[in-house]
Amino acid sequence: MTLKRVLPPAITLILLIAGWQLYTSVSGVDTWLLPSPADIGEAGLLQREALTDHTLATAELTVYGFGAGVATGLLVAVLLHLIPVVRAAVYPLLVISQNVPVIAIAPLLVVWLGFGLAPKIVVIILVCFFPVAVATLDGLRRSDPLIADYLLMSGANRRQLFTKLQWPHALPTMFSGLKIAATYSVFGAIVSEWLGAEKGIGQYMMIQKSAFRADRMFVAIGIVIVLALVIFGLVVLLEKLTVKGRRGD
Amino acid sequence: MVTEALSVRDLSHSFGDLPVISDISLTVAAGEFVSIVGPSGSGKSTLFHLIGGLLTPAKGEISVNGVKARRGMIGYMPQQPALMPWRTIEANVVLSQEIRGKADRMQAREWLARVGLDGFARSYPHQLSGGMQQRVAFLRALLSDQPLLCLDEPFSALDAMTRLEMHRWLLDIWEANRRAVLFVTHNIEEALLLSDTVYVFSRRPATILEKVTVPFDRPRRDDVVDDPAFVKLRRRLTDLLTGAPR
Repeated sequence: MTLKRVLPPAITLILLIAGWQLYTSVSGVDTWLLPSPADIGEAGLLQREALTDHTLATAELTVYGFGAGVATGLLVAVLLHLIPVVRAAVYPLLVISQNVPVIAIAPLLVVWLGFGLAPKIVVIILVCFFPVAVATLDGLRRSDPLIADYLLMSGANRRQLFTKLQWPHALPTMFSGLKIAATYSVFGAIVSEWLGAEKGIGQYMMIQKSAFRADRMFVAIGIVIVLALVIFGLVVLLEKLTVKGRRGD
Repeated sequence: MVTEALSVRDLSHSFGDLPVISDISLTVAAGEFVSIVGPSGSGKSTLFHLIGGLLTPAKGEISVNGVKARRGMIGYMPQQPALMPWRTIEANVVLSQEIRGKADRMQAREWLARVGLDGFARSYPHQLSGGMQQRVAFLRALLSDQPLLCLDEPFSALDAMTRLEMHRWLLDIWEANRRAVLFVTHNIEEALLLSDTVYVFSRRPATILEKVTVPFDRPRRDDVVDDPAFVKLRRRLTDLLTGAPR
């Protein structure tokens, strides 16, 4: 079953890489413009020590940022859910605010917060919190009104209604938000490192760009993909461990 | 003086301009099984929401065990099982106990075995059939340890065969435990088979057309439905509900 699902995309990927390799060797395109997969693999192996350092730095930043972003998102969701006035006042603005590209605010954050960890974390929070907040808020609001009636008639107070019904009901939707935020967080980390960093895959990319080392930039892209997949996988694992039973109707 | 499990006096309620319940009085004595039959949409569920304290009556009084009705005083079983899909059966059963303080999982497991659900304590609701889910919902109401159980058309979503099975099941449990029950249904036969007393409700706004005392002995046997007296009673209530001349 799993093999059936994994095999088709794996074959597609292998064919793509093989086609790429074939094209580069047949067309004789310059390596600095389009390196072959073999070139990229070699570049990655040669740079592995430096890359390990950079990867760890980015991973650390991503985890901090993701954690802070998720915490912010959950806090916003719970506040907006529990206080309808705040919800009415803030929610529409929150949606509109998502039209502001984070990359446009990022330089401003550097002006305010400098080149340290703080502006980078804020960038990741900004890209992460929204999907988590919206998904969780939706889950909190859409709990079964029949069960809510039952709980109230059984004498449940507002706190019990939240902890026993609304929060557990919101978990699956919250995880949908978390999965989106997981991939966004790596993106946020890379962008924030472009702004200026001593270490990290984003900073590495900027240096290789100046040197026209396309092969090394491809290695960096590969690492970004793997990082995103790992964080995504961790979220899925956590979901499997916490979400029990079948939801919905 | 014996305190009634439920006493409803001169109750009227409306939603905005729409009168739903009009001047209803009824009682459920301790250990009595009382049914309300009425057409769909005759305000029966509203009555439960009033008794359960979800709504405040516009006029009249409701008291449960001699105390003015408020939330947390009845064991309630809704029309749909309304089980929490993320909780195991056992955790669902103890829900109402949990709300009031202490959940007794041992007792829950014992009861699950007693009602033919042994081996399902750790299952999730979606793994159970509709009839089994309703048993769980009933058990949840029963184990709330409230002296009054309010059952709101609990079997209306079940197929005819399962429904018959559930009648037998409910009669057995109830006759062994004798809790005061208020049972709402639109099924006349169901009401007569299960109850000591049946109130017949009119169309909206609901008024009481008639109070019928059901004369058959307990424990009730399934074949009571073939008794000529039963057939006659069923005919009379059907005419009453459909408005046909008597």
